[in-house]
Amino acid sequence: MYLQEKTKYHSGTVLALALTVSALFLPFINIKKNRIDLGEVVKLNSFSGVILLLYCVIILLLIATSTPLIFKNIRENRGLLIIRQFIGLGIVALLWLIVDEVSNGLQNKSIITLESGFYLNLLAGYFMTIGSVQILKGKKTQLRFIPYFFLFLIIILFIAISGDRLGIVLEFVKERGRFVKELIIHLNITFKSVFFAILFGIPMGVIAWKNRILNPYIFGFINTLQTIPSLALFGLLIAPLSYISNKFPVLKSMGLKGIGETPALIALTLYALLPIVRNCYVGLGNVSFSVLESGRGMGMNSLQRFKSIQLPLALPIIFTGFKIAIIQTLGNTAIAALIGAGGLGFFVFRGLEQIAPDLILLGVIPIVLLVLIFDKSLTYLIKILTPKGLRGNND
Amino acid sequence: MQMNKKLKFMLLSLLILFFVLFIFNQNLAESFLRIIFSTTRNVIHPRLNILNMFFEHIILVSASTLTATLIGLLLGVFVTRDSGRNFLALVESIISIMQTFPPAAVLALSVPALGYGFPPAFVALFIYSIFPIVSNTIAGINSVDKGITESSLAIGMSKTEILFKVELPLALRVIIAGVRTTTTINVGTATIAAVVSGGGLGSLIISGLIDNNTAYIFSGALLTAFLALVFDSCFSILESKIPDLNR
Amino acid sequence: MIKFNSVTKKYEDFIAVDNLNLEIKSGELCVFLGPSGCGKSTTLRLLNRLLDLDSGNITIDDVNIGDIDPVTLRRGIGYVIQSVGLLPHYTVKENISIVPKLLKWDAIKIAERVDTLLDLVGLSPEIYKNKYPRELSGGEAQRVGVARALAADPPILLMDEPFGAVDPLTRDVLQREFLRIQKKLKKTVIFVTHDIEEAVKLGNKIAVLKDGKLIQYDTPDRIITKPGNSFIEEFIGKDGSLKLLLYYYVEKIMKNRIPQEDWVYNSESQTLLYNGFNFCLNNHCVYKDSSLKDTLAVMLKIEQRVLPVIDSDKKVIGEVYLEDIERVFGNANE
Repeated sequence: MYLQEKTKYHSGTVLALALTVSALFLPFINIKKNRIDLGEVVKLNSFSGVILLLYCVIILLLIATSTPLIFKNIRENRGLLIIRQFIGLGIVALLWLIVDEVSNGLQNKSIITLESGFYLNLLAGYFMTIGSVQILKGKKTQLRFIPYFFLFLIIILFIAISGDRLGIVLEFVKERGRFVKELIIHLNITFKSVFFAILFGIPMGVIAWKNRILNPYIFGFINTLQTIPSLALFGLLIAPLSYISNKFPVLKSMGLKGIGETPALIALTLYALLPIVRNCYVGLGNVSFSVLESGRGMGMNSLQRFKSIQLPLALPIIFTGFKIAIIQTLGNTAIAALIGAGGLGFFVFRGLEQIAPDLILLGVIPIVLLVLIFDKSLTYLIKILTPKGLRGNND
Repeated sequence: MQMNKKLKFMLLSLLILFFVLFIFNQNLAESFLRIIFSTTRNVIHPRLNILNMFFEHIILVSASTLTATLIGLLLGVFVTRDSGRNFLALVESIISIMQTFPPAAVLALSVPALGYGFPPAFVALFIYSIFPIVSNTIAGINSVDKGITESSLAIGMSKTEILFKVELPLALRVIIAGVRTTTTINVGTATIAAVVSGGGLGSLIISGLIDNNTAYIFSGALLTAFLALVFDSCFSILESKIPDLNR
Repeated sequence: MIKFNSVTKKYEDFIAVDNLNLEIKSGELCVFLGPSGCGKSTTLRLLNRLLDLDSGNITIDDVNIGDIDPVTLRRGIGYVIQSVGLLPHYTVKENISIVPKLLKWDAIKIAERVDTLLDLVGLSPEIYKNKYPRELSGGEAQRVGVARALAADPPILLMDEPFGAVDPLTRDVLQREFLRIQKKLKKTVIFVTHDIEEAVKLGNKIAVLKDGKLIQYDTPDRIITKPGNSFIEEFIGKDGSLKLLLYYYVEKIMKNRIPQEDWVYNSESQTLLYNGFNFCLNNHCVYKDSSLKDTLAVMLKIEQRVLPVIDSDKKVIGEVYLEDIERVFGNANE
């Protein structure tokens, strides 16, 4: 802010260094004789000399590239970036070696569960490859897709090699059919709720924009909804819904029940309202009065003004609202599994119940991946939809 | 208008009175639930005490939020200092990734590392809530007009004096908004903490779901919603007391 | 006395200040003039160590500023910027007393100082003391900014386009007020601007900068009548002499106070008998902050080569000669 200090250290590398060093003291891998065995924890010091040596080399490389103290004349440039990315790949390769070594020395039917030390190293690899590209966003390099490619390749490789040992893969193989079913249910609930939220939310946003008197009531309502915890909202819906479904057998036969999909859909729709209504309201209000006036001045009627000025300018913001709603609902749907609605949360909660970390991961990882995929792709889509002159404003 | 306000106030007081009685007097709570759930055998859980769960919930939420506020504030201040500015981009990118993470996922992931009970619940809530606070601290400090910080420096305030007399007071409103968001999320995530034996009002809802007892679910949900709204109104009152100086 | 010795400041590959040598005498108002990006603000910020220089040194009264703790240094240098930078959560009084408080003055002394300063910048202490910055107009806020900079009575005042954000009318008032204050306090002032008119109006000396280099350092009249190179000529414009007429104040060329017995004031007819001529007070006299243009107009109108300069109490405080006006331009004809 005041003094433009010269870069003394590279933040991503410092973080990666901290992660790899703290992983030294944490369990890397847990070997279980079977699924319910508590297992035996393996730390780094019980691995072979080669691995220990390589680990030390990586730590030294991280120290060397984290500050320009050692290479005084090297300035932050593309060369250093590529070196860092290769160190990141090295970390991932070393992890693969570790898993390989462990799985080779195992008895039949033993299961490997990855532990915190392993994940910290994976994270360190991330910050050295993909992370360092993101941080250097401004400077484009032609090699920016390489780290993604390599990381992906290595993950595939070590799943292929250790797949028959890795707990999470075993869980997936065992629950394959169930997994696909729950994944579909998860997406189904999410998109149905967001669809209903859009159906009700857009008119609410337009009313909030047009009508000053109703505006505070609309926002008061949806803001209050947002503060109520999701499990509580599910719970509050169960009692009245089961009462209704018991009173009217017709509705019951149509699938209306106290627990399951119905309360989940209602609650998730209510939650998804806030981003949609708010962004619709903001988007419509975003068009400045002078722009609309100049449209009138050019002889456009109100429909033409709406179509060619207001809508194109408001659409990116409204779509951003949809995006937020989808991402938020993907996460909230996980909780719906608790009231019997199914979805990927099913694995999470069954894993918690059975003390099976791999089962928990089988639920959590796909949810996080779904969130990331939808976040990135929708962000890209919105960028395309944004009129050229406005791009870069709502990144 | 005046009449309306009075009526609102009376209704609110009655509502609060009702909940206080509900929490502190088991018999009253039972007879109230009996009116709605006339056919259910147990309307009050034989082992779970409402008062205990209520305070467990408050302790879990406040402990995690307070710790997160303290550490988040330090981290937010650190990355906006000259010495920590290198970390700003990194921290911002981690925040943007973490904020797409569902809270339930963080909770579930802390179990393999920490086991069951209060610790994983506390740690999960802490980890998830630190990010809105760091993010708002950064936003708050960055929203302070550069001319103000620079002229404060130029007239001879030290950097520490600028932090405490200029930047933090002017960022306070945005920081409080971050704590508010965090608290709201934490009250919600704390209900799921029951799944990892973290205690709190979620236990009542979960045991209701397991025993198929709608009365448990209803009373648990009602109290959680009440708690969430109480926390939120406290913050909205607090926020309205701080003038927005940056406009 | 402030001395810049071969001062250079670089940003990566960009040279912001290039081997600058400059000397500013105590009590002088020196204007740094140049287009944006010429390094004038950077030079200013090097002086109070908001920026560190790459080579060379700056001395204040022969003390290298690099040897003074930055915070101590800054407390002895007032600083006024365009955006004022008042703390929005402090009242006017609290804003002005920031530095005195940091210097641990006692409360009574601070309170007195605040009142004195507000009076000095033309704001009534009773009305303004407890106002918040958001309740002030742009001009009022800038007056408070000046008062704050002067709070601890620093010998040096740095001003970075302080009047750039106010409307032209207010700017003119602020400039006149500031000249009055400067006349009284005799601070060493460095004033940064890109406005040639402001430079001519205020400066004892003008330093013209371009691309980090000092191009010319001279008095305003010489800058205009004898521009050092084509860049300055272009920057001044073709109407340079006219600018001198418009923005050069009488004060700068008037001969000083003349004895009481040399003039007679007639309050009845509102005239002034001076040098054998009866001047009509309302039409024929000039003030010390009148422009040369007005002065010349009066001289031509009443065919006199010398005019009395009066103050607001209708007292003669000096006289101005046609020759002196000519000399401002005449330099070019020598």
